[in-house]
Amino acid sequence: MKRVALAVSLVVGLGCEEGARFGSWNVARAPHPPWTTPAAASASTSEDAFPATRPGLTPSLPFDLPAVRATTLANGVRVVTVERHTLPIAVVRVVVARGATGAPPGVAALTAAGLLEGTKWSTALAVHQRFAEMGATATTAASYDAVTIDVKVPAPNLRAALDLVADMLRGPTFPDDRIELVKSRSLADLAHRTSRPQRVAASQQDSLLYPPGHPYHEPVEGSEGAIRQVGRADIERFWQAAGVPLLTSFIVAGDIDDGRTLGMLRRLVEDWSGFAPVTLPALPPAVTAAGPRLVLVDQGDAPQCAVSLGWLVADRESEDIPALRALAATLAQGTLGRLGKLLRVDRSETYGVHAALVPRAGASEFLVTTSIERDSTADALREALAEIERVRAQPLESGAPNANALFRDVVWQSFETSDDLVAALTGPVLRRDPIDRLRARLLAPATVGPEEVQRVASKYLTSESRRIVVVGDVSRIRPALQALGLGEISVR
Amino acid sequence: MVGGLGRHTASWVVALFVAGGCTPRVSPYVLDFPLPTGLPFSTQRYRLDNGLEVLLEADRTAPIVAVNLTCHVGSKDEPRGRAGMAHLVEHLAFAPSRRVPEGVLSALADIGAREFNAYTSRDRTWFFESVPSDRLELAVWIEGNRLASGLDGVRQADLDGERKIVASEEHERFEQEPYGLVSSYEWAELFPEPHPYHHSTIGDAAQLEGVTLDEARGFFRTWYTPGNCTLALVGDFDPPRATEMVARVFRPIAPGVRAPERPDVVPSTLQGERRLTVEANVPHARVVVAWPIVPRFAPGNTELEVGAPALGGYLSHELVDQEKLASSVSAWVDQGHLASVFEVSADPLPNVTPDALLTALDARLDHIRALHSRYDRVQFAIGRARLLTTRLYSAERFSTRAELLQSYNDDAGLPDYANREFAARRAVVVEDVRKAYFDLLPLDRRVVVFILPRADAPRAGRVAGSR
Repeated sequence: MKRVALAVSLVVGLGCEEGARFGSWNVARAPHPPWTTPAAASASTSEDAFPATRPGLTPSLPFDLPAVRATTLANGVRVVTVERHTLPIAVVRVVVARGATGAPPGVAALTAAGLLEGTKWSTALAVHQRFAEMGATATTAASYDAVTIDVKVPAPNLRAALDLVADMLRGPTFPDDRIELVKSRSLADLAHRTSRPQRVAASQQDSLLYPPGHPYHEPVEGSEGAIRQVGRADIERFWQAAGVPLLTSFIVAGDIDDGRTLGMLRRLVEDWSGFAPVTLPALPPAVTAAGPRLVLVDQGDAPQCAVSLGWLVADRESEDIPALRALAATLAQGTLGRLGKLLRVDRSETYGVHAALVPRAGASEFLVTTSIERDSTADALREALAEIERVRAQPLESGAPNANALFRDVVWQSFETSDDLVAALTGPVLRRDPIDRLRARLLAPATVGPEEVQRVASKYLTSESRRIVVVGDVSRIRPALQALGLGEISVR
Repeated sequence: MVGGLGRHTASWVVALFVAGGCTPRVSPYVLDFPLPTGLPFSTQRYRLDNGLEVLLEADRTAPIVAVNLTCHVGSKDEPRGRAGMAHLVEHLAFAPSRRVPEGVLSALADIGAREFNAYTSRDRTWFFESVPSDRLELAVWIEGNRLASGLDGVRQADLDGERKIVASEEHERFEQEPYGLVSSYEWAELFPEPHPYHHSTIGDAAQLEGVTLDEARGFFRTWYTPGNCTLALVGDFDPPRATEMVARVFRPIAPGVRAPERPDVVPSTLQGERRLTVEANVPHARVVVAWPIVPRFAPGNTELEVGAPALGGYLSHELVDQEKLASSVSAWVDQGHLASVFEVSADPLPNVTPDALLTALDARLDHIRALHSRYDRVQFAIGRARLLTTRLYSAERFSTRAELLQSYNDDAGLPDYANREFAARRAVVVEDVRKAYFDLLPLDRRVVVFILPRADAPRAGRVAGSR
């Protein structure tokens, strides 16, 4: 009712008779319908003040994993399905277990992009239009370990979407003109990414931690030079080795029927044959690259500096990984964690600090990233490094991660939506874990205690192996950073 | 009919066909595939004595509840000379208080919340978190305390600290971002003073320097009151128990002052075409063309919203694929409560000048106004499909569904407006869009922004000229 009156008063104010006008269009919103208040909401209360006592923490609810079904087709294609009947949505991820580590720089990413650019049965425009007509979103990507195809579609259109995905797998044509288009888009994306300070810092950090020649030294997307060099033949060669049934898995989640979905995939891809998978080349040893420990990247008169601290830590299959994840949570989660509290809450020098473990084969990355006001950068960095030393040296009494909370985080993030389910299943599917092990991995409670967190901090976050990248106004920040004595400085 | 039908889809598909059969005006281009007709929600809405509005949407499919406290205040409600005050006060609403001395962020982290944060827009302020369903009462209590405390624990040091953090946020999210300030320059032109959308939500650091503690508390007590807020719970809860829980926590909160009345719609007073040149240290040029249009859900808005992706697809086909003048083109509607904006953005290829691209763009815009052009029926159907399914996809996560219900409630007056919104979108035909283009996107009343790469300019952009 209020809105009608307001609209009228507005109209009067504007001197119109029919309503606020935009061109010939009359603007008025519908009034609110009448309210209904349930008895429980209007019942009298004995208190006349806000309840002073905070409700107590209740025991955790038991969690149960939705039923995950895994089947291997006769030709080796693995199919993993999870029914989730919330909304009529189906989510499909195809995981092809060969990525950037098994290809020259840039080839895997361009191959992934090229999968959408035409098949033996459809032109690129027809593929795009077909997905669009069924209301689907279709994207492809490459990581160091895999090429993925992601499709989200209204559930009734799942069959049609799978049909098109099967075509992409079985008969991509990588036409020259579309590959050129894909390359020009990749170069534009690269230019855009490299204009973002945090992305520049991340890319520099990779090249500092992993030595030249190591696959992780180069970004998955490839450098500008690498992208320009990739030709259609490189892409076809990569796909010939990667696009084979034995390396391919389908994960399908959402408002689906397990049996019907499996039946569709049997019809679409079980007769697909391909070359036998080639053994992937072993990764070179991951030792921290020799060279500067502090790299400064000049970006004019930027008001802030993007800061990245990096260490090489354990292999992604190591038993230390849970403790390293807990260490990341202990150190920084935006506004929380030891560094979040120090730099944001106590010193107001940043909008947030993030710590993350990036699991990788051979040696994972442990990163702390933030953006600091330019003139506070050296001070903030000194304080942050001192706090990390305290975490390494002193017993963690307060601020230690709550194992139960970590466990809950993992479970929720894994299971709230169909996208979450697919994301949670991707790692185990890529490793081809047996279904029982997959369930065990997902449901294993986090039992990391403060002692374990301190142990891995002490073991891995050493000043000797640490690499620091600062992107900002070098002429303004260099003297103060040099005074910190953090080791050899290089300016790029 | 294609296969892959799950438990819920049969009735959905039937409903789809029923709806299709009853719609008298059908676009001549019909897609082969069924598309969603709505969202199967049933939201309970009621009001407490103190004015707090409550939305309850139970969904037991995951043991999580999303809690969303929306305060109907944004940067449009800031007093003159205090641009950015609503956002600053949103930050202060996380500060320690008498009953939550550790601060709201720590309190939420300790109960296992995730996705906890807040946002301020031109129209609204959201405080939100997702919690395990057995922790719902704690989350409701923490949000209730946020309203009840009235910033009682905020000290001068907190205000000073948050001012610095807001400045840091502005640097990180806008000034350090490529093209980061273009939108604020554009909106200032689209909505001349004294329109409430003239200034940006992040505000002005110099104006925020003048904000006192008393002012911040006064702003909070004026706008962050039960009568000006809506609490939404979405997820795994029992509605009768949740109703009782919400009443126990929120009902004792004093109603406070009544929020000042505000206009529901404020058209822009923009006259003629305004052209801005922005220099920025960015990899490529960009042309943005924008029109102030009717607000969300007002007549004409749906037509333009449905038309936007179709226009983007058509322009992309013409200017990227055919003419090779641009690397990308897109069109969209930026929705607002008082007014909205229709935007077209195009990135010219290196050998194409922004002026030449604008000329080509305008030629295509003229073309689609022609009565017998047929380009858009395919693109139109596809664009509408994308719009319908995007809404469906966004509703799966409880936190985004809560935000969706809040926006429906605020802008359309009904939290479960989804089905009407879907019906309205499905009823739009090409001719409606064409009429809306004619009436609401005049070539002589708009803002054109040319963003030109320049190495010595700030990355976010600076205004080099306007006419």
